[in-house]
Amino acid sequence: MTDVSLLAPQAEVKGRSLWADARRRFLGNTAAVVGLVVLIAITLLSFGQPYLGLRDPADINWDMISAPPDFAQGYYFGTDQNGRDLFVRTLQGGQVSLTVGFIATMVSLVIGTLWGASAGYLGGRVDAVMMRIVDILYSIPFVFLVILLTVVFGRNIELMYLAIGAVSWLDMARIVRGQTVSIRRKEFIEAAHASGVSNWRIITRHIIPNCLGPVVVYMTLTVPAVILTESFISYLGMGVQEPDSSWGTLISEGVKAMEVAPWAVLYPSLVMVVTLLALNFVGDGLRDALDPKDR
Amino acid sequence: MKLDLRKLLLPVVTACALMASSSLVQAETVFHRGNGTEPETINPHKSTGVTEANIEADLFEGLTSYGVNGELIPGAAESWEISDDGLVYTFKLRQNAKWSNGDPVTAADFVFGLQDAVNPATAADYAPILDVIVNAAAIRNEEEKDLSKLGVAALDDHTLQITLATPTPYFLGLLRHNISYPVHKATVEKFGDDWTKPGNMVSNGAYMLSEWTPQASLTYVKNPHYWGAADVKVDKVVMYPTEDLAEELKSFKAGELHVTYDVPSEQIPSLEKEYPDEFKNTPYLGTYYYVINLTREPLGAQPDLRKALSLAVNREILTEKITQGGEAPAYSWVPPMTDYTQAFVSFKDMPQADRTAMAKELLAKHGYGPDNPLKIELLYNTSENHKKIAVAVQSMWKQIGVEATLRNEEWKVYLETRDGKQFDVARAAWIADYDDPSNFLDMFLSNAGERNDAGYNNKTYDELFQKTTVETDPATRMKLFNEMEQAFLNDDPMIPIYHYTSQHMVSKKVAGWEYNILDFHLARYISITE
Amino acid sequence: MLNYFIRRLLGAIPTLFTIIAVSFMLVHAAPGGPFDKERKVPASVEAKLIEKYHLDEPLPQQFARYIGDLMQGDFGPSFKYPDRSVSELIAAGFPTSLLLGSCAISLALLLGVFLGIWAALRQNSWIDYLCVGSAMLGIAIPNYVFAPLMTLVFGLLLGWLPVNGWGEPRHMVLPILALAIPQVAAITRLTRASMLEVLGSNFVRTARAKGLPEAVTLTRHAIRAAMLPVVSYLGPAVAYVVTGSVIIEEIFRIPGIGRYFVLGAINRDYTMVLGVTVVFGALIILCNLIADLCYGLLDPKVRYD
Repeated sequence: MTDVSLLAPQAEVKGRSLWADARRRFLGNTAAVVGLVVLIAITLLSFGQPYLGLRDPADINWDMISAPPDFAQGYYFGTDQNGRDLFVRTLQGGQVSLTVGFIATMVSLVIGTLWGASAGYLGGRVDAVMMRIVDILYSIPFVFLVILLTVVFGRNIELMYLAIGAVSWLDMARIVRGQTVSIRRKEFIEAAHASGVSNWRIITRHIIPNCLGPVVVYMTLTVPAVILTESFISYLGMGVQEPDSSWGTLISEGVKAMEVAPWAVLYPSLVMVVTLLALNFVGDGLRDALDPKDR
Repeated sequence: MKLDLRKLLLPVVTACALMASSSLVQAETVFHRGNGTEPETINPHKSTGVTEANIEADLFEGLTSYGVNGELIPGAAESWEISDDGLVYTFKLRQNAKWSNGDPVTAADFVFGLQDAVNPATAADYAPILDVIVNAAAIRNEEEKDLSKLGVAALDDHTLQITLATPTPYFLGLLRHNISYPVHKATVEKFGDDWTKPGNMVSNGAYMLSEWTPQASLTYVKNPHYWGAADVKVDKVVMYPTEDLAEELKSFKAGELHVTYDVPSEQIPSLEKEYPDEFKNTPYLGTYYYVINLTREPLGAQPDLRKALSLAVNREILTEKITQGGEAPAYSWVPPMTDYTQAFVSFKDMPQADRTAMAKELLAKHGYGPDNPLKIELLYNTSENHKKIAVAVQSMWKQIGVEATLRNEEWKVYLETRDGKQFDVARAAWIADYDDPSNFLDMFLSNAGERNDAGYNNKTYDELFQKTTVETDPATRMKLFNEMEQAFLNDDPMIPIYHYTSQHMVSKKVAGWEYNILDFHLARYISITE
Repeated sequence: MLNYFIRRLLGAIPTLFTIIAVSFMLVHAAPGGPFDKERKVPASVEAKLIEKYHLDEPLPQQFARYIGDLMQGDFGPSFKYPDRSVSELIAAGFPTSLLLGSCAISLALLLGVFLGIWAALRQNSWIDYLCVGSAMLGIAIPNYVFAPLMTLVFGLLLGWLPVNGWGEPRHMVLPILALAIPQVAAITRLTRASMLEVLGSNFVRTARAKGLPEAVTLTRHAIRAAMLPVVSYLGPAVAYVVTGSVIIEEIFRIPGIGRYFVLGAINRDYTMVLGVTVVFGALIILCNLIADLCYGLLDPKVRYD
C-alpha cells in the first residue's frame, strides 16, 4: 500500500536519503511493522487458499449444517448454513475483499489526490467545473450505475471493481482540495510559483506531500467503506457469485443467524477487523515516516 | 402535490401530538400485527400481494368471506341460490349490512364494485380471474365499452344476480378475493385515486381505516356500523411493515407485536424448542419449484435429462437441513388441497440411492458422464433462501455429473430473464389465490403467455383443461385435473421442490388465531387477553 | 464572499439539471420495468398503466414532462405505491430522516472532534490508543452488525429501550447511535491526524515559542486549522446521514426516505428514484457549498475567486 507513484519525483531529487530515512523510521515503529506482517500474512493466506490443501470452499457437509467450530474435524470457524467450511470461505472471501480494498485505495490515492489538488491549486473556473463533476458523481443513483454496467458488459467481477473505483475517490478529492486551498497561499508555494516551477511539479512535489496526513487517514477509512459497498452490490445480486464469497457477504449472511450461530458472524468479522487495524497501523506508520515537516 | 413547509412539518407535529396523547391510553384492545412490508395500495381492486390482502380482508367484506378456519362463509350476502346449469347465482344481501359511514350496503354497490374491477381504466392485475362472468373478458379487453353489459345485475336493493359464461365450481371462492370486494361509489367518485386515504375511505368490513403513515404503520378501528359489530372484540388493529424478519422476531419477543408476519428460517429449530406454544407452522397453498426452459437445448428436447435433474434433487434433505421450516417435500405441482387427489412424479417412493443411480443411467444414455458433464445454468433471484437451496442443489447435481453454474440476478432483471426464456433452469414459486387446482394448472396452458415460464406446450393438457371448464360434476372435474397434472409431471417440465408452510409467532395473549390453509386471519375473530 | 455565494448558487442549477438528466437516462436504460411482477401482468393492463404514466412517449418528451412538473414542485406519481405521489412519500419521510440524521451528525461531530483532539494531545498514551482503537472498531464493524446487536442487547436482553418502532423519543436512541457510530469514528480519526499535523507545524511552534498560553494556541490556531479535513469530509457525510439509511430504517422500522434509494431502484419506481436523487443532489450541492464557505472561516488565507 505504498504510494510510490506520488513520491517518486521527490525521491529523484533528494536522492536516497529520504527513502532510507523513511524506511528506518518505519521499521522503528513496532506497531507499523507488526501491522505490515499481519497484512502480508492475511494476504498470502487468502490468495494462497487454493494451494494450501484445505477443504474445497464449495464442499457441503450434510452432517455439519450451521455447526460451531470443531477443531477435531478441522472446522476452525465452524460451518455456514449450507454446511461449508467457514474458515476456508473466509480465506477465499479475502481475495475479493482485499482486491476491492486495494483498487479503491489506488484509485482514491491517484485520481482522488490529483483531482483534488489540481482543482484546489488551479482554482477559478477549473476548480468550479471539477468540483461540480464530483457533486454530480456523488448524486447519480449508484445502484442503477451498477445494474447498467452488468447489463451492458455482462456479469463479471471486474465490473464491480470498476463501479466501486468510480465512486471511491470522491471524498478523497474533496479532502485534498480542502487542504490545497489552504496550502496554496503559503509562502513556499507562492515562492515556487514565482520562480517558474510548473503547476504539475508544484502539485506533486509540494501540495500533495503536505496533505499526506489526512490522505493516509482517509485511505484507511476508504478501505472498510468499499468492502461494505461490495457486500451491498453482491446483496443486490451484482457482485460476487456463489460459490465465491467476500467478507462483506459472509458477515451480512452471518448476522441474520446471530442469535443461533454467532460464530458465522464473529469469525469473518474478526478477520476483517484485524486486517483493518493492521492497515491502520501501517497507514499511521507510513504517514509518520514520510512526513515532510517532521524530519 | 406541492411540497410546502406546513406539510413537511405535519408528521413531526402529529408525532408530538401522539406522544402527548399516548399517556392517556384507555382500556381499548389493540392488536399489534407484523404485516411484512409497506402496503403498495389498499385499493382492493388494484392490490396484488398478501400484505395488502390481509388489510383489505379486515376493511372490506365480499359476498362471501373467510371463517375462522378459512372455510367459506356468507359475507355481505346471507344466502344464495345457484341455477341447475351452474351459471346463474342469485344472492340475498344482509338487510343490516352497512358501510362505515352508515349507508346501507346494497346490490348496486356490488354491481359498481365488480364493474370497477373489470373496468380497463382501473387496470387491475387480477381482473382476469373474473373472466368467468359474462362479458368480463370483453370489457377488460375493451371489446365491449358498455360496463352495464357485465353479467352482474341488481334485481332489487338486496338481491344480486351474477351470470357466468361457464360453470365455475370455485366461483363462490372468487367472491371473497379482494378483486370482488365492493367499493363505495360516492367516495370513489368524489376523491378519485385518493379515496383510499384515511379520512376519505369508506369501507364495509369489520374495521375502518384511521391512520396510515407510510413505512411506519397502518391503523384501523372497529366499524360501529358493521352488521356483526357486536361480536368484534378488538377495538384497534395496527399493522406494521416488518421487512427484517430477525428484527420482527425480536420485537415479538420483547412484547411489541402480538403476531409476526413470518419467522427467520435459521431460527426455526430453536423456536420449536423454546416457544412451542407460540410458534405456528402450518401447510400453505404454495409450491417452490425449479422450472426448466423447454425452448432451450439440450433440456428442452430431452425429457430424460430433465428427469435426471429432478431425480437427483433430494427434497427430504433440502427441507430437513436447509429450509428447516417443516415444508413438505414436493413430488407434485399442485399442493395438497381439499377434495383434490394430487398426481405425483413416478419416482416418488423410490429411495434416494436408486434415484441417483437412475439419474446417472439416464445421463449416460445421452452420452453425459464424468468425462462429458452436462453443463447448465441455474437462475435465481437475490434472496438468502433461494441461494441456500441453489447451492445445495448444485452439489446434488454434481454427484450425478451435472455441472451447474449459479446465476443470481436482482429481482427485475431476473423477471426479465425468466419471462424472456433466457435460462436453462430457474427458481420459481406459486402461491394460490383461491383453493382450486385450476389456479395452478392454468399456468402451463400453451396460451398462458409469459406466465407459462417453462414454455410448456401439450395438446392433451390443453384439451383436458377445456373439458374442466364445462364439467359440472365436481368429482369428475377434479379427476380431470388429476389427469392433467399427471400428464404434466410425466413430461418433467419442472422440478417440484417443496410445498410451502406458513409460519407465524402468535402470542399466548391472542385467541381466535386458528389454522387455515389460505392463512387468512381476520381481526374480527381475534380477541386479546392482557 | 457574497459574490462567490451567489455564483455558486447559480452554478447549482446546471449541476442539478445534469444530475437529473444523467439519472433519468440511467433509470430508463435499466432492464425491467415498474410493472414487471412475479405473476405477469395481463398485456392489456400493462398497456393501460404505461399509457397512464406516459411511459409510451419518447424519452425526450418524458424528460421534458418530468422537468416541467418538477418546476411546479411535483415529483410525479409513485408507480410502486399508486395510492400516493412521490412528493407525498418524501414529505412524509424526509422530516424523520432529517431529524434522526441531524441528531446523529451533531453527536458524531461533538464526540468525534473531542476524542480526536484528546487523542492527538496525548499522542501514544493509553488514551490515544483507546480512542484510535475504538474508532477503528466503529469503522470496521458494519452497521448491519452493530444495529441488530444493539436491538438484541438493549432492546431484548436488557429491555431498556424498544426493539424497534417509531413515534416516541425513546425510539430514537438506538437508531441515532447506530447512525452516529461510524461517523464518530471517521471524525475522530480525521481530527486526530490533522491535529497532529498542525501541532507539529511551524505556526504552532511559533505561537508556543512566543509564549502564548497553551489554551489560546490550541483554540485560536491549532483546532481551527485542524478542522479543515473534517469540514471537507462533513459536506457529503451530512447529505448522506440526513437522507437516511435503508439498513437502519429496516432494522429499526423507521419511516424515513433512506429506503427509497434502494427500494425505488429495485422496484424500478422511476419517479421515486428521481425524486430522492433530486433531494439528495440538492443536499450534496448545498452541504458542499457550506463546507467550502467554512474553509474561509477556519483559515483566513483561503480566498474565494
